Amino acid sequence: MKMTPLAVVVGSLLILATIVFVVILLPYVHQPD
Amino acid sequence: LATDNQTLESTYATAKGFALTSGFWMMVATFFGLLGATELVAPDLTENMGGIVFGRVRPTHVNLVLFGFVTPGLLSAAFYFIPRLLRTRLFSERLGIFTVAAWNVALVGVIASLAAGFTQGREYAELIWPIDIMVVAAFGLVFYNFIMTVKNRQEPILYVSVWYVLAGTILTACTFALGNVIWKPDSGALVGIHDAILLWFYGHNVFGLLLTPLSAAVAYYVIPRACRAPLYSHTLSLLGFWALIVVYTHIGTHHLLQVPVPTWLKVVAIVDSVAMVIPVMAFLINIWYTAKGKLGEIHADIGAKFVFTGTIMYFFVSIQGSLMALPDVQRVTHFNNWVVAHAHIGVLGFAGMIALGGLYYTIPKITGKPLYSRFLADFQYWMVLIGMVGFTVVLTIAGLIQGNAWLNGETVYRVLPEIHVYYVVRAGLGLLIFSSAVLGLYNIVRSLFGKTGVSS
Repeated sequence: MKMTPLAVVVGSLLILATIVFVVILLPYVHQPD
Repeated sequence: LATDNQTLESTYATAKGFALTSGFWMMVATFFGLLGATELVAPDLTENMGGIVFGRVRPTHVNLVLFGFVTPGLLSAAFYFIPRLLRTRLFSERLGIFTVAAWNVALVGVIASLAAGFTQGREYAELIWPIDIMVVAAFGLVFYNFIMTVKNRQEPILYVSVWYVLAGTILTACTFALGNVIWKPDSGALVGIHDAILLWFYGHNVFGLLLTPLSAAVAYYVIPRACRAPLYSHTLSLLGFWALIVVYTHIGTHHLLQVPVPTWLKVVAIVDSVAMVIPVMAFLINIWYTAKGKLGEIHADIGAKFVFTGTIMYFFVSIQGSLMALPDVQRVTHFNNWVVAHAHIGVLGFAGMIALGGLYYTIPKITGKPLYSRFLADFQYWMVLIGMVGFTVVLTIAGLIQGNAWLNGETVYRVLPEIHVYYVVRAGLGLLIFSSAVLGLYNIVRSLFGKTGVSS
């Protein structure tokens, strides 16, 4: 795998965004009333 | 790795600025730790002194250690090795100095605001909104300086240390803004369970996306250089980097196993806490195999000695952390001094040791002369090591006494006399760590501003 600056920065941010979606946003929108 | 024979003349003003910042705030931060430990031994000592009640001293200690001592120490080394690894100069030393100045203004704001009682009351996210903004801006400026240096590079290949520094700074700018809920300046918080989930996502990522990547970056630079050996495995460094970002980012909920958060989220946090063994061992095997057969070189360099010890502590704290996420273990260890011991192995034994190692490895290179005193640095090494191991022993014992007593239905106050002696020893060890910080600051100042240095 070629670790270009784009791969490092954008890859890291995409992973973070995915995980925020799963562990922060999903529990938030599925909160019990 | 970049080699020493390149002509990369630089003042390294930013690296020097962050080195001074780290040395000074280590002294202040450990003083607040000592003060808090003393108050636990003698609660009446500071009664009626509102600015230094325990509830204000403790977050001051924690925030100054994280953002005053350890992070600037690691950044100081990064501001030296990033331009060298990229065979260019730092994009802007002027911007770097401005960042150092802004960083220190924010740290003064941390002490003043917390002492005055301005807090948002969320662990690791106590700071009020204006300081949150300054911290996010500071990380943004650091990242901008580094990414522009990358853009101007002469070296086409990015070494693993560069990956970690780029990712650590940009991801922390994001998670700090998110975790401190900066779109709600008045409270800095969501409401209820969701705030707890967000807070611990951020809180654990202070270690996972800031201290750990920056420490790994320093270790990946210092150990091969000190050993004069190539890195053991490029593949392991790839595995360690991506696994760290994928796994570390969603284990924060292991702080909330006693809380009615969704069960699936707890399961994710527990499973991935155990899975942390992948990035941890990928990193450690890579570093340790690089140093295999070359421990003499590491022992000979005080910076490498600090860093290598930090990697050993990383092993202990990570294995312990994985086990502590298991519900049956946590039933005994949570909410008591066991966790405080764990935190000190991590932040002082691992990241703090590597920060000090980074400083002592790079200072002779950025000044062009040996350290003012190798003896003082070595003396500080033993003080920090003995103090940190001592913390671990006494606080782990105190934690086990508390945890088991509470499981047996004992009330909190009746356990306090049982652990008093351990608090006394902990305060004594705190004095040791504070003294080591004073020696360290003296050594750093004389090394940066003295005319000559000595090598022993």
